[in-house]
Amino acid sequence: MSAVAPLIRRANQASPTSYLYAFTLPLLSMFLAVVLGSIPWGVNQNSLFVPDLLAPTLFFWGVHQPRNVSILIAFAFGLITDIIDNTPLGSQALAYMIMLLIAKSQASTLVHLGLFFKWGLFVLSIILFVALKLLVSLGFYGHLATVATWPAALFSLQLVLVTSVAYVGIHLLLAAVNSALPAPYFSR
Amino acid sequence: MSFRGPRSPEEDKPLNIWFQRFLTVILFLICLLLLSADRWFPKQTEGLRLHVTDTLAPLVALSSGPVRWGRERFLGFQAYVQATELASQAESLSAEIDILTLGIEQRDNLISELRKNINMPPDGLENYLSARVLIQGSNLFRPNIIVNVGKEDGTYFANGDNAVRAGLAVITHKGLLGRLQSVGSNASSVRLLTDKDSALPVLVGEFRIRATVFGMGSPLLTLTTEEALPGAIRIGDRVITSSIDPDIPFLFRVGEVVQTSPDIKVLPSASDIPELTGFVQIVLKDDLDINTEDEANL
Repeated sequence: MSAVAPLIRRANQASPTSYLYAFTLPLLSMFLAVVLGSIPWGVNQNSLFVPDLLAPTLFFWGVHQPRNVSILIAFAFGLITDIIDNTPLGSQALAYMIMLLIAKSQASTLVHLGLFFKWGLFVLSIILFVALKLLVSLGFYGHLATVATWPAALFSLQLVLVTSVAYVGIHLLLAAVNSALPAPYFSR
Repeated sequence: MSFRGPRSPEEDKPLNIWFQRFLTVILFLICLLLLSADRWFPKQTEGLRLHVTDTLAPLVALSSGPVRWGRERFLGFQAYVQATELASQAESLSAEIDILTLGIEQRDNLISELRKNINMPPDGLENYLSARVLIQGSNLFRPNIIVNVGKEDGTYFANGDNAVRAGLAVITHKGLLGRLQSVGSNASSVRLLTDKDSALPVLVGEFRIRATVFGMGSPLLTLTTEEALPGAIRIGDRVITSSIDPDIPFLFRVGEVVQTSPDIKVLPSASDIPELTGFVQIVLKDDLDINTEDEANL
């Protein structure tokens, strides 16, 4: 019971406004992640270490506010990312939805555990996410010989590494925001 | 000990749970439908992309404003420091500048004489329209950028036609970057040279061997030619645009040959996309009638 008590206390102390924040802040942070991830920083995005900012943000809120982050949000942001990145329509939407489902399914356990465990599951999710994106792209753009498979595989590996590192920073930042929000409800 | 928290009031309603599951399945199906539509009906989905991009572009421009402001101030400070250092050097170099100016005038005369000899068209037929880069995509196979110039930017030819259209060349100070792929009301998508569907007629090396460069969805372009003898194309040869495509400026830098075996590979000159505070130029080929008010807002 000791693990649940602080959550109940936070839920009881929360004001109606904080429930509004619990819904809007995840949306706002995801929008910021999309904007910051898509604006040009003066580098060749494929040759340098540019993380996917939306994936860690979505995963974090999926674990910490699972009831306020609907699968519809993952779909919408994924579709916007597909359009911005010029990727096949639906490919990133599918990948983000799977990532959110993984986060939400383990939320009730993970929320009480430390950063290391969350990071572990995130790394597994991002590997699945990137592999799915790569497979859909390779399948979508035709015969493997006609596209640069090897650079794409290297780029995907690079994306996994950089985004995994970025998760730690994003987690710490969003955890500070989340501490002011009411505790989430979980099913028994 | 259980880690599970209190039950949510909504979860007492089984209908809500079933609705969530139903929604998930429906969204998965929509994703698969969109993928199929994008694969088999790309023109229809292109319209959807353009519509969303057009709607999002002003929002992204507004949201990235603070970042752009900070970066502009930072770059401005860097430029100020450099300018202070260079000011002292400039005085000592003024005498050399006078001599060089004389040399430049002589060279310009020589160039104009040579142009006349080879019947090259005079300068001034091309107009350049500046555009700010709003969004940079991260798809390796189909790299693209979105710029803040569209059909409603008040740029028209003298005959009244809209000057901004798909297919126009987009350049930076380093070389050719790509072409306008689709043009919306407020924003346009640029297909880069490295796009897997990109192809461009070019001239290679000092002998101006005719060739074609193809994007392969990787940072390097592939060059193919039927004219060259073995060894005619060497590493370090410059690749420039040919006059075959009327939308592409003639003799403009494309890249440099970096590999000749087994395939000839070219590193594009403009492989780095301009930063947030930077601009690209769209090459327009006719006399323009630019609405100055819109140009000032750009």
